[in-house]
Amino acid sequence: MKPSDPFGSESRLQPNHDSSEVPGDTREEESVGPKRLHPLTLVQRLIVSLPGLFFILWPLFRETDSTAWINLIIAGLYALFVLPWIVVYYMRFRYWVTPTEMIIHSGVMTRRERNIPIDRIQNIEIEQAPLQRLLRTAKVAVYTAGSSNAEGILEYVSIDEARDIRASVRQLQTEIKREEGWTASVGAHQSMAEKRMSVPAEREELATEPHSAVPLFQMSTQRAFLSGAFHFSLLYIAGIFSLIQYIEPDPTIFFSGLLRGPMEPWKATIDASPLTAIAFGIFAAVFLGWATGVLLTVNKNYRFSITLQDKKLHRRNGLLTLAEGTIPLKRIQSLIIRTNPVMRFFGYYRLEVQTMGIDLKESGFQLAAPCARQDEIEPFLAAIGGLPFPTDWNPVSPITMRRFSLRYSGLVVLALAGIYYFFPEIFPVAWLGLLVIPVILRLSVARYRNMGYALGDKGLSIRRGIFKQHIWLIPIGKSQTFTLGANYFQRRLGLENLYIDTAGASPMVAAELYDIPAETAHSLLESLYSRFQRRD
Amino acid sequence: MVCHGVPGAGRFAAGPRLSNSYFDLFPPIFYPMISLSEKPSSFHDMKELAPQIVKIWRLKSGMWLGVLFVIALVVDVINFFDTEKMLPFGVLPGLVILFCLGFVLWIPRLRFKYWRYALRPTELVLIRGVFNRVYTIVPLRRIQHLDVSQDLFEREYDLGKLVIHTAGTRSSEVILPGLRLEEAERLRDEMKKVITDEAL
Repeated sequence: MKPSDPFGSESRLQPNHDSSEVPGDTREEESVGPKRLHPLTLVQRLIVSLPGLFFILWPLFRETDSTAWINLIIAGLYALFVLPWIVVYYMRFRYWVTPTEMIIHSGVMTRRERNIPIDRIQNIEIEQAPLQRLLRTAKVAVYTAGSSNAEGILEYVSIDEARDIRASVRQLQTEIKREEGWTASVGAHQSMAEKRMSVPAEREELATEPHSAVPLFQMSTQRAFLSGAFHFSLLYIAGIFSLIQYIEPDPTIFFSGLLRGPMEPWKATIDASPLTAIAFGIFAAVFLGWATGVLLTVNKNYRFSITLQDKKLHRRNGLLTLAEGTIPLKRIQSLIIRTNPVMRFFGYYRLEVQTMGIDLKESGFQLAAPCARQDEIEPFLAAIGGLPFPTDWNPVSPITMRRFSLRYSGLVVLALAGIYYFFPEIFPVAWLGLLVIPVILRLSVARYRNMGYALGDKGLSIRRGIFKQHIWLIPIGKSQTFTLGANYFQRRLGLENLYIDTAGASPMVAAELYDIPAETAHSLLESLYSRFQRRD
Repeated sequence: MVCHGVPGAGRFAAGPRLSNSYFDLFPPIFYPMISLSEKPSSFHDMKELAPQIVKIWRLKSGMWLGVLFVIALVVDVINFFDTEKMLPFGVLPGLVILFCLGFVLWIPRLRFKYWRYALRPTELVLIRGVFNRVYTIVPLRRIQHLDVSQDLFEREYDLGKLVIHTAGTRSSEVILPGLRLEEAERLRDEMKKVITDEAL
């Protein structure tokens, strides 16, 4: 493993030609030094760039157009930039595999050296499109944890070279594994691979003895209907619209056709008083939404069951489409408990697990219990070794109420000022928007009451949300990075936000704790991080 | 303030210790400004970026705001004879120029002033941000892979950028800009050593 200096002119501008252009090197040579892509890459990239050129030149082929010469110039410029770019990209690209890492140097304008440690590599894919099959080349995509995009892409190498890379990486991984095993047998450490999240799939230990399936949560038909009752769907609107489209193009004729015969008195009522009609319409809309919600949810949650077997969660659910899923416990990052006001009132929660996998199918949020009571969730959490269902919540700083109400009242006032300046004619009505401000104040109180955290032995729980409440259970061993943040106003008020990143966390609804007093935030972070380190 | 577990934590907690009741009694305007000079020494122990990064940030933001200025100028010239226009001639480009001065001269300077990093035995610690100040701990064993990159501007000043990839979502890319290229490569090699040696 030589120290690389690709930006220094020597190593990048004078490549070692000997190792690069011979396809099918032996593995010893492979781990020696930088290598180039297959020379046919140039041809393939050129072919890929041709449709763009054709598109630009299209007016020339079509007819004698007086402005077509402009396209000719654009095509010339395109060729002037794209062709050198293809060549320079090829010239700049280097990759090689050392015993500890895979190194890729790339980039024309922005140059990049990428180092991917061998034991972080989760998967290597070799892809061959028809053109590549024809030229006996392949695209190699190297995946690491956490991201669904390939971190290292080699476009293109010869197919033999691609297989060599994969084989040598796998061999190096087993060597690393063996060395770790050796260390463990000596007794210096436990196997690190156990604790690291980046254990490649091949290295995962198979379950030693087959365990019997332990049922964790099951839903009766009654419960499936109950879970449906908490849901609301607007899908029926799409249904009605498509129905109208097919039956009768004019909706008025459609409705008058609908209100016929025995419905005649209804029509009279609607004609007599539009207000009744509006009330009836709203009632119908709510009822339809609720009924659709029930039907959809029952279809999805019918006979929902989740069992634990061989350190994996097995899930089965569905009425019309039977869905099955498997979640290895190792892949579970944090657990999310969600409720809405109605569910909370009746004491029901929805449990989701956030997972991280090699491919997109395994990543994201998977339903573990659509509608469960707290006393059903608690044994579930205990069985999978998660954080307990938190009961004592620590509040955040009450100043958060003031910040929230000031922020949104400010926005309302700003919007009204804009209306006053630009559209003075609607201002006499628009100023009624000030009535929103008391609502904002009430919401700020609800938000404060619902926000809190609980620090336990296994990790941190965070609760947040005004109407729809989220509870995140973040195991300390699954945290990726620790972040404290405070904007200008928060710094003046002595407040900070705490965010612990986990693999596969939602970027939209982040498990972030807002407006904690700075001192508390620091001691919280301190105890969390020292626990994280102790797990080492 | 001594923080055992977290090196550098507590950089926000400066000045007098204020209890919550204090906050409730007085309006925020009376609270002391939390300034850098009051910060615990850990902030000052951390490393600054290379000062050339200020020029690069100025160049980059200057380019974008230059485009904005040209657009504003064109809009203003087109509406020169418009009798019902809202702003008199020259106000819009003038505002853009003021904006430019703020963003091109002042903000990069502040960004530089508040950027700190430190590589410790088990973690990388970053502090950054002018308006929104953020403190991040990246445990080294959470690193998935590392990039050192250099764009055209950075090449001019022999600077580089270290990009740390983790499996997280928001922190899937932690960017450490404005390092001398050899410093970036040194940091990368040190982190790499921790990752790959950990197994042995």
